[in-house]
Amino acid sequence: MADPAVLRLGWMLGALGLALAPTALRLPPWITATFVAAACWRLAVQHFGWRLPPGWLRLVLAVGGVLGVLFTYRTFNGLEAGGGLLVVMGAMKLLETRARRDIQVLSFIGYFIVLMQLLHDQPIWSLPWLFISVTAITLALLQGVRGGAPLPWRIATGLVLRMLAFAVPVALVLFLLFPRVPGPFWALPSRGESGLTGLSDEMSPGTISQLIHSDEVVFRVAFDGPLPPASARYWRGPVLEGFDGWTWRNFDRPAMRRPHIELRGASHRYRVTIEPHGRAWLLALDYPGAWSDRDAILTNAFQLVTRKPVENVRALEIESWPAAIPEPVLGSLTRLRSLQLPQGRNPRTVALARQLRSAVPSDAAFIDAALAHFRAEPFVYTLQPPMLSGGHPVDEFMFRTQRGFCEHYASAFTTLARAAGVPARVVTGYQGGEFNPLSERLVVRQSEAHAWSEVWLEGRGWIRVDPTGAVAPDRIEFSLGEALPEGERVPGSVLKDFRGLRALSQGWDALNSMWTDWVLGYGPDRQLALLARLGMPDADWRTLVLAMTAFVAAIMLALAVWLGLRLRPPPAPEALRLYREFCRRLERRGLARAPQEGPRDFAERIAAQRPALAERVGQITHLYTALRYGAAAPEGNLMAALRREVRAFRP
Amino acid sequence: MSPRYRFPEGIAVGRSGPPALTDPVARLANFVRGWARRRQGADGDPVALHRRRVYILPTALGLGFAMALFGMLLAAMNYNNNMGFALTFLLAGLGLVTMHWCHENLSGVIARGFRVRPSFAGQPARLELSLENPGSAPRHDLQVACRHVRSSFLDLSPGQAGELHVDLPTRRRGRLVIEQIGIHTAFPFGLFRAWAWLHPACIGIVYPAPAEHAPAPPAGGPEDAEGRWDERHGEDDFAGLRSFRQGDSPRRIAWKAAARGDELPVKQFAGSARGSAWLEWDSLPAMPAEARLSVLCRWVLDAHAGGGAFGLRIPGTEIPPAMGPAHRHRCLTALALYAGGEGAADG
Repeated sequence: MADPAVLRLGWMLGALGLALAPTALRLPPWITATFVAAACWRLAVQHFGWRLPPGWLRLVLAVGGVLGVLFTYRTFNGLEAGGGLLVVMGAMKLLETRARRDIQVLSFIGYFIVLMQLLHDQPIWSLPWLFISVTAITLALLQGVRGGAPLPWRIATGLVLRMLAFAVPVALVLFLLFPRVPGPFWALPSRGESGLTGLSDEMSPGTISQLIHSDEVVFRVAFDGPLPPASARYWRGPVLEGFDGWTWRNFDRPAMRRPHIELRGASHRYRVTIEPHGRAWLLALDYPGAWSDRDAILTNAFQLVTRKPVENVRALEIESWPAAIPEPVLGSLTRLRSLQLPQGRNPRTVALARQLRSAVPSDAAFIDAALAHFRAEPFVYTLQPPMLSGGHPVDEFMFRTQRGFCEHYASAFTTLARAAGVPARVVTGYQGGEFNPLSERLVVRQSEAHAWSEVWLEGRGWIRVDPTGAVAPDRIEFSLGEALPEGERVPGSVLKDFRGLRALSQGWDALNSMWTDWVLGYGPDRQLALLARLGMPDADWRTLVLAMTAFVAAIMLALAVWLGLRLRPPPAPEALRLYREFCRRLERRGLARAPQEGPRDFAERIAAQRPALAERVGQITHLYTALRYGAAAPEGNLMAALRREVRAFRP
Repeated sequence: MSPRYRFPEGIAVGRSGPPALTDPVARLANFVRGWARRRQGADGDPVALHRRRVYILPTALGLGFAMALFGMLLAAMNYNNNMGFALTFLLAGLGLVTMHWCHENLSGVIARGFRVRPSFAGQPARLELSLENPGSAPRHDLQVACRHVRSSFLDLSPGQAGELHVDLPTRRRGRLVIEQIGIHTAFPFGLFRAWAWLHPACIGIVYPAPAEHAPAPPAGGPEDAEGRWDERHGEDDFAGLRSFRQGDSPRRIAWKAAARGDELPVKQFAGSARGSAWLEWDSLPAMPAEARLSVLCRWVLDAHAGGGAFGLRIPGTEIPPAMGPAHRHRCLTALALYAGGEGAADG
């Protein structure tokens, strides 16, 4: 077999490679290249018997690597930079690996690389990947720290898997019952928007239609009662009040006055599981009145937000009242904000608004007139609107192109309303969602991103107006695909036209939904629910710790028993056990067998002492010696005979 | 109650050589060893390592592992990341399982056949013992340690037995008393170390170092009392040639044969015809006692190698002439334990 040192190194390199594989694509190429080069160098050192790189060279390389990380990320703080640094350090460690201790350090680095990847991203395959990489690194550790030569891989793998067979239940108990202390304990650099798609806090022509191209799941909802109709499923995201003629955005400081809302009518109760999007907002149906997350607050634009960005899967229970009256009395600041328009921009739209308003008696009638305008003119709902120039984009859209996506319609309508003196604002969020019958969840994807308007009417508060619905009612009632003109397609929708694939994709989504709900979204509320189901209704963290300790102790006890059984001597052959029983029975009659006495001598002595027993004893001794010392014979019959004889033997 | 047991100075943990007992860690270790000795009592041969006498502690690596796990837990809490928790808990579970595994890897092993091979002062004395695995699961990475010296590793499949040895350094002649033997294992991951302490009645003999330059031994036969070789006698008894060893008399060298080759051949004579030689303390000129013992040791070795019968006469002890390895051992032991050799042989 090969050199044990090469084997040890090979095991460790293989395991590290496996742990690093999903991260490698994400890391800057030079870091991945550094690691691969270090691994190759180290293998060559082993294979050709070169000397390890000298200390000064390693120092130069290490300093260079650290500076490289600093230069690439501009910081050491945070997941990305920390991960990069970890991999570079692992590469440097490889170059000085000679003793057992170095292999051990490498295995720890390997575990941390796995952790880094898990903190970054938790798709459903990360569980099997976690298991496989931990197994591989642990195997490499086993081989690396072993005193003797490396074990054959089959035996080593069997050992590690048997240990994991006990470690996994322990991990499961700890996972279910370990009290979750809400972090963070120190300021985390936010991952920002790197690699995350989703609504942003501003909207200009083209922002939402960009999102439509993504099939990513934004959140899933499980309703307690019946599913609300598609036309009522408006998921409220950022509410935008400021407008510069081109872009709608939030004011820097949202008014944090307590929102005033009159809850009335029927309510919906549901559980939303939100995928991480790196922003601080949550998504709820209009209008949330109660929710389970203490970190969540309702802005006075009735948007549910949290104090920290959503960096991990987050689940919360929400109750919404669709018929509530939001803000029955409009505050003066809010009125000012929702009437603001940039001076001198989009003059034709402003003129149109004034003309429409003067023709009708009330604000409510103006809304209808404006919607009627959209219906009457040849507006087209399309994913590929023509480019708008910067000067008067709303005018251009209203009177020249007349082709646009929901952000164009929301922007134009809100401008119209404001110009007519009706307080109005743009609301972005998601509309609709696909119900998955397998998981019984409503699945909302990026492609369901939407923008609409909200106007304030005396006595009715804020009411939702969706100008897109006036142009393309199918978008609201059904889905984007139905609303688009002939020849335009939602990306990726081709596949969904096949029945089998649709079922497959629903199954996959149901699996993912379970994953996010039960694994990623598992939190304190679910822990307490679990304890309640176990018969501990009023549990707190002390109960959790107690239950956890008890379960872990039970598993450890099982392990100790199993190990103890394994270490017991193997059972004696049956013939020997029967013969011992026979000797015990004789001993009770005072006929003990001397230690040096062979079975035959013993039988002869018994025959001499007790002639009455001679025949039986002779028979048993004959059978026993035939079974123990005889040539390979049909054992079954002899064994059965011996069993019968011994059982019947009553000296 | 067994009498309060104390180890002689210098039996304490440490890298190399006996550390000073002023070191608090060494004192604590010494105390623990003494406690284990009192708790377990003396051992016979064989000894089964019952579960209750297998001790276990985390290694430095194990403590590092615990620290790493704590770091992972903090990270998982901080990012509120359930997969991070899953990894941390899986590794924690693995650590717990490892602890039991390590302990069970050692408990139940049977140790027997403790003995120390005699050696010469300054040369390592080899402590040997055999380990047996009576269980039905394999054992891995068993190691014997004695006086800070560790053996190689041993794997035992079910029912198998194997030998391990440690080479103990010696400095001077005398008895080498083995107070304690440790049987260790850090299997599977080196996170924990389980060990058992054995206290068998096991004493080794360290012979004096043989003198490098020694006068020729007095011969009872053809060699006269002054050490002169009488050429006329014994020529008939010529038995062959052997190569030169330090201390050989130049008169025994076969000069004619030496002219033909590179080696210095020395004539050998059949012992039976020579009669028995007496190796005597008093036949040596005035020199310190230890030097005398060294020369006598060399003589015994040469006389044994020469194949003749010889006797040993030192103050207080007289061993009549005889032959064979047992006799050689008896003579060398007498030299090893000559007045002044009662102390420990490790200095």
